[in-house]
Amino acid sequence: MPDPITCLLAVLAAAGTSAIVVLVLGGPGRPASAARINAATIAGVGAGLAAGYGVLQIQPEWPPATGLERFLTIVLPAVIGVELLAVVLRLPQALTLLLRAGLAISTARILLHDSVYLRGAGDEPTWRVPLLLALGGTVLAAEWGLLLRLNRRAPGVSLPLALAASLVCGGAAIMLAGYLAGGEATLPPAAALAGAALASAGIGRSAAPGTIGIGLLALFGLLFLGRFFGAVPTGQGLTVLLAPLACWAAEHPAVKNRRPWATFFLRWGLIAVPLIVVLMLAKRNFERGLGRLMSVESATSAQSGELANVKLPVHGLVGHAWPIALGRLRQAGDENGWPSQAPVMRWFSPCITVSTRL
Amino acid sequence: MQRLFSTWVITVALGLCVWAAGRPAIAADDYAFDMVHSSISFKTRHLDISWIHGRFNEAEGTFSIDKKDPAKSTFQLSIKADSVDTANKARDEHLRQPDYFDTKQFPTIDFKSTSVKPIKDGYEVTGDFTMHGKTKKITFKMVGGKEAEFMGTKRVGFSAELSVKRSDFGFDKTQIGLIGDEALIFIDCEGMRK
Repeated sequence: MPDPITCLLAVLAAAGTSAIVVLVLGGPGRPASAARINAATIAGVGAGLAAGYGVLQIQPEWPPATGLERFLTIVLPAVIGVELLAVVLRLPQALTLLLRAGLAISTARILLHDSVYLRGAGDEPTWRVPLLLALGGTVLAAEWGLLLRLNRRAPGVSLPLALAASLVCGGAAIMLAGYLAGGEATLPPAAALAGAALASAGIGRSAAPGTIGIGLLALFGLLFLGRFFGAVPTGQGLTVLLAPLACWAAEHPAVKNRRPWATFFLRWGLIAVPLIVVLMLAKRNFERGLGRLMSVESATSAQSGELANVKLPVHGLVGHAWPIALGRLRQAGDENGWPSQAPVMRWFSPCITVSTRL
Repeated sequence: MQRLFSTWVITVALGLCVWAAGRPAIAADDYAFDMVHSSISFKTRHLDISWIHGRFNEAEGTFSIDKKDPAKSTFQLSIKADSVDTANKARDEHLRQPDYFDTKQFPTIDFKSTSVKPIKDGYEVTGDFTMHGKTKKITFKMVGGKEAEFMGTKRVGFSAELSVKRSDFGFDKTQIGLIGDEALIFIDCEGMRK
């Protein structure tokens, strides 16, 4: 069960660590070349991820046996390594593109390794798996290329922040679909990305392309796990994955060349629409499925799974979960002298109550 | 002609001797689980105040009983984790996800005996229990062994109770707490002789 205090601390640790690393490595008093800032932000996101996952106590084993372990021990280090090598060794652009394309194509295969999909023991027809791997790789590579092109064309913090928002929204959708650990795992990359982007903006530089790749791989990997190992619907997963591409709409001649803050809000407005729709759909599915576990009406009924749709209002979810979250906050406050109010806990409330009903 | 016939007879006789010597003595009875008359159920604590009961609806298993040398008996069971059934569809779907059984990654829960010892009411079985990708050696008692014949097929029944800790099998530690760490598994099997 995700502990709201631990989640909040993980977010703060990831964001804080990445921001500090960016400020230290690329801060004032140093020649702030684009390569230096890029390396600093990649190192910052890497350090932020380590800090965030450390606080969440997600300790993957080696050799990795689960999809999430493969994501944490192979996919994330690989993308950080590729981006860092490209900057530090000044790899030729063609080689960097080749490495990125290789990573994009192999990520889905790595995540599905040794699962029923590749063993041919699942419900999926055998012809669908190679198609799925090819499509997954193509979509990821195409989106990666388009986001990097957009970042070159109109650099700014809005793109990494859009990726961070998509990660948080994807995490909520994954949690509401019942995969709590998978949803929780989206918090460190989202926070690290946001921390690094804001820190680089603080020293007057735009977001580095390296962080775009890390953020996108994290988004793709976790949504892929949520879809193929959890119960995230394909439509919801694809919508969240492709939502950052909505930032391209701000490049339309009719709205282009506006002030940076106007572009920032336009981009955010454009990605907010699909993300909010996904959250509403995820909440509706939650009420129809796992939400029943929390409903008193359902719990006292002899019927089990075929019950009529139990409408669970938001205040019902929050009302049930809020005391638990507040209890934890107060307990932590008593122990550590922290303030015991945090509106961010509202996000985790439905997920907390799922497990209490199990 | 007669010489050729003698050679042929000797060759066939020798061949039969070699075949008979190479073939193991038939002392063990091999059985397959009859899942219509077998069940694999479990229970685990909820909030440390009550028990949640569930079962696995699909499994396959075999066992071999050697009455002359019980140590040569073997037991094998493979449970389809996807078939978990706790009489609540939403909860079952959640149990299949990576927070619990992770059935897309670990589709089966397996047991394979490594040693069998005869005891008063049946057998003490030790073997490798694999769940959630982790294998641990466990020992439990298979009680029973009564035989019956039905529709011309010999049947034998056993019951076993075993206790496992989810934390020993790599389950997500954050998912342990509200639901008890320990799970009691009850196996009641009826085997049909092959």
